[in-house]
Amino acid sequence: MNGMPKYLNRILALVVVIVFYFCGVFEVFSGWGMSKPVQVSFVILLIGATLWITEAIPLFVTSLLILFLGKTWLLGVLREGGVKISETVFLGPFFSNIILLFLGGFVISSALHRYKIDEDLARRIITKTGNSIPMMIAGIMGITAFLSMWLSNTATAAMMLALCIPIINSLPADDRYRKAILLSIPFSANIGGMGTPIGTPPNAIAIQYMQKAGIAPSFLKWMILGVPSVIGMLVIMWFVIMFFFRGTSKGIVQEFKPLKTVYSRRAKLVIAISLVTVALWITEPIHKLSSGTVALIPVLLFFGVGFLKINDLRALSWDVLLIMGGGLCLGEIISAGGLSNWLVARLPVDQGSFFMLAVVLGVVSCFMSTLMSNTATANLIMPIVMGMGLSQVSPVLVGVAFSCSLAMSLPISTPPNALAFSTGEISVKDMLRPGLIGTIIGIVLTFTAGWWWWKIIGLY
Amino acid sequence: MELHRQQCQKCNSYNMRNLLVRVPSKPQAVFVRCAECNEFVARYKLSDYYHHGKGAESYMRSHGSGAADSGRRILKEFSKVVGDAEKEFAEVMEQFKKEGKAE
Ligand SMILES: [Zn+2]
Repeated sequence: MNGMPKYLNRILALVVVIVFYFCGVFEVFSGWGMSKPVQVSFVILLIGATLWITEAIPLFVTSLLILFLGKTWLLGVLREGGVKISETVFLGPFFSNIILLFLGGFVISSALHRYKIDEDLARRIITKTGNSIPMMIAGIMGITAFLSMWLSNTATAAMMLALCIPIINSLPADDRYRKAILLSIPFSANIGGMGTPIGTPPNAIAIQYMQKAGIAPSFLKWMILGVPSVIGMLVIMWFVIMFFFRGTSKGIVQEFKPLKTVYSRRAKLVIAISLVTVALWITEPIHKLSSGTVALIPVLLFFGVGFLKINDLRALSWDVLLIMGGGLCLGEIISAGGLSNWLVARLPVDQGSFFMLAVVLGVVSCFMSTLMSNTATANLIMPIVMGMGLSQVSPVLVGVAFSCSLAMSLPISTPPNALAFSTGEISVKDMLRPGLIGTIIGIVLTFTAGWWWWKIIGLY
Repeated sequence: MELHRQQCQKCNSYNMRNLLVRVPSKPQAVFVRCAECNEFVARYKLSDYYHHGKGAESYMRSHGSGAADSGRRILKEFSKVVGDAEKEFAEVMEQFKKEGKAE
C-alpha cells in the first residue's frame, strides 16, 4: 500500500478539527441553548473525539492538545465570564492518584520483566501442562490472564507470544492447535485486564469518575467484581477456541524448562516488594493509604535500591499515562465548561431505566473499542456518562470499562490482538470468529450475571 | 555509510560465528568467534535486535515491559520494523558489492 490514503485521512481529520474549532469561535451552537463556555467544552470534546478516533496524530498528543485547549481557550472564556477557576483543575488529572497507581504498576512490571520473573512463572506453568495441548492452552490462558491483571496487557501478551512461538513452531504446519495457542494469548490478556483496577486503563478511569461521584470501590472490591468475570470468560474462551481450532498433536515435543531453579537474592526481593505492594493495595480499608500512595512504594524501592536504573525509568510507558491524563482532563473540561449540566438538562433520561442505558452505552463502547483504543473509548464515553445525571453511575461505568476489555474481534481492537496477528500465523477471519463470539457472550453475561453480581456485592 | 567486514585478527579469516547471549536483567550481547581458529574477535550489545527469520518473535522479545494503547499503531510499527530491516539490508548488500567486498 502506498502512503496516499493515510495522508488523506490525516488531512481530512485536520480539516474537521479546524471546522470544529471555528464552530466554537463563532458560537454556531448557540441555537441549542449553549452558552459560550458550554460550546467551547463541546468543541474540545469533538476535537478530542475526532483525533482519538482517527489516530491522525498519536493518542498522547491529542491528550496534550486537550490540555492546551483547556488551559488557553476554555480557561480564558470562563474567566471572561467572571468564573474563578485555577488551571490546576486541568493539570491535576495528569498526576492524580490513578496515574500514580499506574506508574507503580508499570514499575513493578518493569522489575518483574527485567529479572524475567514473569517469563519464569509462565515457563513453569507450561512445563507442568505441556503433556496435553488442551491442558497447556488452559495453563497458558490462566497465567496470561493472571499476569495481565497486574502487568500491562501488551507486555504480558508480548512476553507470552515470544515464549510460545517456539512451541507453536514445533507443531506440524497443518495442526490447528498452532492457531489455538496463538489466539489464546491475546484473548486472555484482554480478559485478564478486567480483574484489577490496574489491569487496564479503562478500569482506572472508571474508578476516577466514581471517586468524583463519591462512591469509589476499593482495590479489593474491584477484584471481587472483576475476577469472577475473568474466570468465567476464560472458561468460555477456552471452549470457543477448542471448538474452532481443535488440532491433532498430543503434547509438545521439545523440552521446556524453567529459566532457573534458584532465584538470585535480587529477584527474590523484587518478588517480595511486588507482593507487599499488592497486599497493601488489597488491604486499603485497614490502613487507609490510597492505592496511589501505595504505588509509590515500589517506585521508591526499586529505583532507590538500584534494582531499576534511569534507563528503565525512561522506558516506562509515559505515553499511556498521558493518554489517561488527557481523558480525565477532558472530563474536567466538560464539567467546568458546563457541558455536563447542559446534557443533564436536555437528555430525557428516565432514572428508572439506567439499566437499559448501561446496556446501550456498553454496546456502543464495545463497538468503538473494537475499532479504536480502549483507553480513548473510555476517555470519550465516561465523561458523557457523568454528564447524564444518573442516579446510579457506578454500574454504568463498570459496564463501559468491561465492554472495552471485551472488544477483541479484530487485529486492531487491542495491542495484544495486533501482536498475535503480527506473527502472520493467523488470518483476520481466524481472529474474528472466536473473538466476536467471545465479545457477544461477554457483553450478554456482563449485563445479566454481572449486573446481578454487582448488586449483590453492593456496587449499587 | 561505512562498511566493515569483521575479520579475525589472528588468521585473517572472514568466516565468523555469532553467539547471541541472553541473560536476565542484562541487555542481549553477541560474541563473535572466528570459525577457522576459534579466536575471540568481538563483542557487542544489542538495543534493537531483529531476526528476520523469526520475525514477530524477536520483535516481541525486544518489546520489553511497555504498555501500549493502540492496536493500529502496533501493526504499523511491526510492518515498519520488518520493512526497514529489509530495506537497510538491501542497501548494505548494495554497498558491499560496490566496495568489492563480496566473496
Ligand atoms: Zn581466526
